[in-house]
Amino acid sequence: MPRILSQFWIIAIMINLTLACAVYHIKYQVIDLERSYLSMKKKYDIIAEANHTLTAEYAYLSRPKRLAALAAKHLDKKYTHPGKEQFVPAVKLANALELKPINSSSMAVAIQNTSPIMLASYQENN
Amino acid sequence: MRVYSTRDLSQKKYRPKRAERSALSDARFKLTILGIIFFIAYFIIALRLTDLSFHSSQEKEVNRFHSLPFYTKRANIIDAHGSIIATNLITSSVFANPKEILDIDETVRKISSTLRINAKKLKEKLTKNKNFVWIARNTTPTQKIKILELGLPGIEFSKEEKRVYPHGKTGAHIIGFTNIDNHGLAGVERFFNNQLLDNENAVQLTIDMPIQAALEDELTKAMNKFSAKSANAIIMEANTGQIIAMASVPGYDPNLPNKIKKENLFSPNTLGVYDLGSIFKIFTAAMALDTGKITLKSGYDATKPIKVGRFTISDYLGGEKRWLSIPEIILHSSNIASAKMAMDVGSEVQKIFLKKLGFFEKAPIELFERGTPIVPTNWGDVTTMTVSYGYGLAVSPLHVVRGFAALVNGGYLVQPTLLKNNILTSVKTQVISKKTSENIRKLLHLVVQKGTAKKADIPGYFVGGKTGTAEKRNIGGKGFLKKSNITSFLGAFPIHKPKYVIFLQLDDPQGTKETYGFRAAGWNAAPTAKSIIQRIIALTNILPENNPTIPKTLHINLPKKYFSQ
Repeated sequence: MPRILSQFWIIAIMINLTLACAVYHIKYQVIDLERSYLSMKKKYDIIAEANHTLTAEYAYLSRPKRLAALAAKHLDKKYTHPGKEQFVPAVKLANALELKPINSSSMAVAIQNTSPIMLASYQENN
Repeated sequence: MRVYSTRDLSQKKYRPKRAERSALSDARFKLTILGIIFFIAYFIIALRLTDLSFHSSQEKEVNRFHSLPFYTKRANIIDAHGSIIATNLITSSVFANPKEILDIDETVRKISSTLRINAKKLKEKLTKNKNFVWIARNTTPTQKIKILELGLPGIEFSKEEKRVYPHGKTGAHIIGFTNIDNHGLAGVERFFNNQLLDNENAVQLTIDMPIQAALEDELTKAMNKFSAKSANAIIMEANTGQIIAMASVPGYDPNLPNKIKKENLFSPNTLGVYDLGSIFKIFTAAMALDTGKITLKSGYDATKPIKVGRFTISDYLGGEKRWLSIPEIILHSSNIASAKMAMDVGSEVQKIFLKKLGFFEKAPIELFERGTPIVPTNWGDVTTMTVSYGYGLAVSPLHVVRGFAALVNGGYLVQPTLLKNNILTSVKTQVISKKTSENIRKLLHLVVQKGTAKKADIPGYFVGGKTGTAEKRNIGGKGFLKKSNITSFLGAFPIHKPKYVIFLQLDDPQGTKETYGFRAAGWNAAPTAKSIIQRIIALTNILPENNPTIPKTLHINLPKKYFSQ
């Protein structure tokens, strides 16, 4: 009986030791993972904050008033005056020029989707 | 010495001595204690293992980190296209612990020169017996670096957030602004304050910033050109009530709330109420047509002014002095005929009609800055007549735009809104018949083609509208100011199928060489409306209509003289 008891205690102690080692290992593994996660999270936050600032900066730099001023300064463009400078879709122009086959083909769809082009100038009413 | 076998021991042949018994008992006791200790340790480890196996605490921690992306204390406000209108940026604020400062004079000198703040005031702050005093809120990154380089003890930084408006003055009266603690003080910032603070999701507005910027640009040009005190306008979708742009100049920069002038803070579009003059005649015509009292073929005698007690109702520059058909009344903007039209309908019906259009209560919109209409207490015959041509009942431009949208969109009163995806926009009340709406559109097109709003005409785009030139109320005194006008234009385009309604108003515009000294709305408000509509057309890529049936549907029979011009 005492021999059985002593064997039991040896096994129990060994199990305890093994479990203690495993728990110790797991604990520090988790701490390590958490630390690396926090570090990544911190980096992510910095990037997210920079992204947030850049989005605001983009809105600031692309504000319509600034774009209009830049276009006026650097491009040979001016505001259109609908009614005076008239716009028509390309498909109507094609029809006006009697390019009938285009209208019935898939090309017509492509033309329909193109930007309108300036056709003529109208005389304004006084 | 006798040796005992195990058998002997089990058969209790061996009788241990007293000392041996005591030692044995001692050993048993020690073993039991050790066993208990091991058992407790084992039990604790087992419990911990169970706990670890479920990873309860760690999992919570991990999830918490996952669910916390970068966010600011106050959510963004974005326009209809998703462009940022208002956002919070992370900044640093400088504070001091005066008890830790070694040399106050040196600290004051260095900080005041770096941050360009008053040295005297700073010294007052730093000599206080406190542990914490603010030095500067929301410093720039450059300022922060410079202060860090100074290496002053007792000077520290606190992470804060600053509300920033990338579009500056554009849309300021709608957006409003916040105080330094990020609480909304005006506009949408104030109305949606709790939502912006509690929610991470941005508030999306119906405002189209390119159109808003174009509108403000044209209003500023008009204000300067006609030397007006101010100019304001609203552009609303006729069928949904969505406000596309709403501007008032001069405005203010919400980025600099401390520098806003009180008079510029006022939002005339929603808070101001005005006697808007002749544009009201289109409401009178709609009322009379809808009640069946008149048709487009009816007419009234506008030969002589109407005298009611001490009042005389006459037409602008004497008027046509003849019988006028309904289209001619609107075309020439006859006060006399409008008054007679309203009298035919009656005061009660007029009140009910205007109430139906929402003119007697605050206009519904997501702003706290909403004006209460000035409604006459005694609505007698004189009031009925004066209200018919826009005097006596003062409403805000938003009221007018809302009511006007109902006149042109088929008769539905819409809910004006600044909030994109507002479910309330689907709630519409029919206030006039479709037939009346159709007739009103014809009348409005006629005014632009042949009447006072000719300068708002854009070939190919079928603009319809009505001008109004009203004397300003004498605030603090009686009656109206004879030499100070408010000119306005109320219109829709394309008038055969209205998409947008537009209202604009100029406060006290002056005559110019170009207008031959005239100050009426046809000379200033109408051409300004045209410029605005042209900008909208270009921005929204609306194409001209060349369908020959459209002019026919808008045609009204008039005497030949109108077509010989």
